[in-house]
Amino acid sequence: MKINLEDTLDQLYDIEGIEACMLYRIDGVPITIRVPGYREHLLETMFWLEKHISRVLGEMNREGLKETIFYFRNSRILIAPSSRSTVLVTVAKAEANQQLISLETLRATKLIEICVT
Amino acid sequence: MLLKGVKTKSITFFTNKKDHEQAANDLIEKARLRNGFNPNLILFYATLKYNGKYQSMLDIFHKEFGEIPQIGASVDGMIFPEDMRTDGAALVLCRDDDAQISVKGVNEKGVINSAEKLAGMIKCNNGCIVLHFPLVRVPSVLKSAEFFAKGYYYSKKCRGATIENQKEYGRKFAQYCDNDNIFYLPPTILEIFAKQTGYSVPIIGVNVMHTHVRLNSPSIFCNFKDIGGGIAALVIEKQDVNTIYDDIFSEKGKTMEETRRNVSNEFTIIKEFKAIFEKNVLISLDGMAPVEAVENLIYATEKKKEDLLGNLEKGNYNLNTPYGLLFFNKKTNGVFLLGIGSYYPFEMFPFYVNVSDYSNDVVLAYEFVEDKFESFISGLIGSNHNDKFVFFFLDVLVVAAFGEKVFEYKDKVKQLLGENYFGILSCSPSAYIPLKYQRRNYLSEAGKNIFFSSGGTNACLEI
Repeated sequence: MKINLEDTLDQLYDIEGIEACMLYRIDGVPITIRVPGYREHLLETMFWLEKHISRVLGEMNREGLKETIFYFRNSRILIAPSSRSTVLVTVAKAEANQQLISLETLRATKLIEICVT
Repeated sequence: MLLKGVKTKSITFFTNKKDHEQAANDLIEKARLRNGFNPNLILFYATLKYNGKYQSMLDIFHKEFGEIPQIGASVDGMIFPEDMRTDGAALVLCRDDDAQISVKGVNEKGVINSAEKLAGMIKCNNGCIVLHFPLVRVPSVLKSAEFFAKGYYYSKKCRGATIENQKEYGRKFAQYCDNDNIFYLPPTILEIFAKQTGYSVPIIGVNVMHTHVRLNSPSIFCNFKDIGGGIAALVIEKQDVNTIYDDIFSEKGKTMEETRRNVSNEFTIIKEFKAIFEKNVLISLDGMAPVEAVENLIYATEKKKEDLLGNLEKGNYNLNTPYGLLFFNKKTNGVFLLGIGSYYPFEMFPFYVNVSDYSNDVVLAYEFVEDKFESFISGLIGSNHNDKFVFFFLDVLVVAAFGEKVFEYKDKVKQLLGENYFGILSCSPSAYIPLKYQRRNYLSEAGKNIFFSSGGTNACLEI
């Protein structure tokens, strides 16, 4: 199960245009992350997510949204619940193909859902 | 002698490793576990993440497999029995002991010239031909700048000129686009190959273009060579190959008026225009520059040349548009749907069909496709595939139209086809389909028994 989860994150991180991907608990605690080393803007994003992710998820739930995209500096931050207890966050470059990345992210959430509750 | 009833077998391997060499080696490692399956055809399709690195991947495959016919292209995604992916590379090994399979390709100056040369090299009496060529080839930054400059120049010359002179400039621009291998005209290319083969075998045109285009893309692969903007032909000589083409539209009428009525029932018409065009260059709509005439109706915004070149370099140049101009063919009563948006920094609007046989009365329209989810794979439905290898071509517009719902195709296709199939997501395919293979009076008939549209078509081969 762990291999599948890690493999899914690895494959997502390998996608062109994706800068980072993180799996969070719904209360904002990071479970596993893929980042290209130290990046100031990614750290800022992660701090922000840890603080606000439960509120964002609450709003998404109220509005019935399957995914939400924020624009932060030159990045797109795609937030998609991946199970009842986890949420997948993908940080993509501004020029990345949003439609195709969105598809791959949602594919990953489906695989994560099989691994965790 | 060709035997009947023997089916092509296939195994698909996929990777999406970041590094191209790692990706190629990953595919090779997986392929080595194939238990004595010796292919006589290799398909290789990869997304834009390996753009510029395809040749070194192909070299690795060539070293491993030797002289086996190989064909492929850069695409936006693929569907195979295990998954559906929009990032990565797929290697498909195929074996058919009773088919004569060959792959040939050319990359000459001039699209029509290339097509004629390649057609002259091909023979096929039974079976089918699958052509791979770009729909639009985005050249290097210098060539792209030259294309923009030519577009500016001829657009400027057209201002205030007589219609005859405008058409003359349109003809020169069209000639330039052909000479420099920028716009490929699927119906024209298919006609060249159909004529060469005596109009006897079906021909599918895999029109390769990415939803986000970038410089030096797309690429065509032929016998382990990245031939860039060349044309490659996969020739399968076999008696019981079934070729299916379909589109999401209703049928064409017996007369152009009937077709227009069918279209007005199916599409939402925004406005009708009198168009001036020459070959594959749209010069004006109601006397205005094409995009200027429609921009307030479709919210297209003007693009600057500098922004375009920058975006092309980064791969951030989106071609999706829900709006289309409908051209009505005076000879076939079919319709060509041209997606229109603000793609160029100049006024003329070059595209990828020679519309000389079409009426000047064109229509700006859009269509709701929510209820046409299954129509996009209609070619796969209603046929008894009988465990044959199904090689299919799906319109990538489904991603824009249906979002994550497209994942349902993965399960639907598996349900329909079992385990022996491979499909690619790219631009709408085109086809030359002899009458006996036609399922109905397709609206998208662009020439006699030749079918194409900017969106909404699909095709498959059962081998």
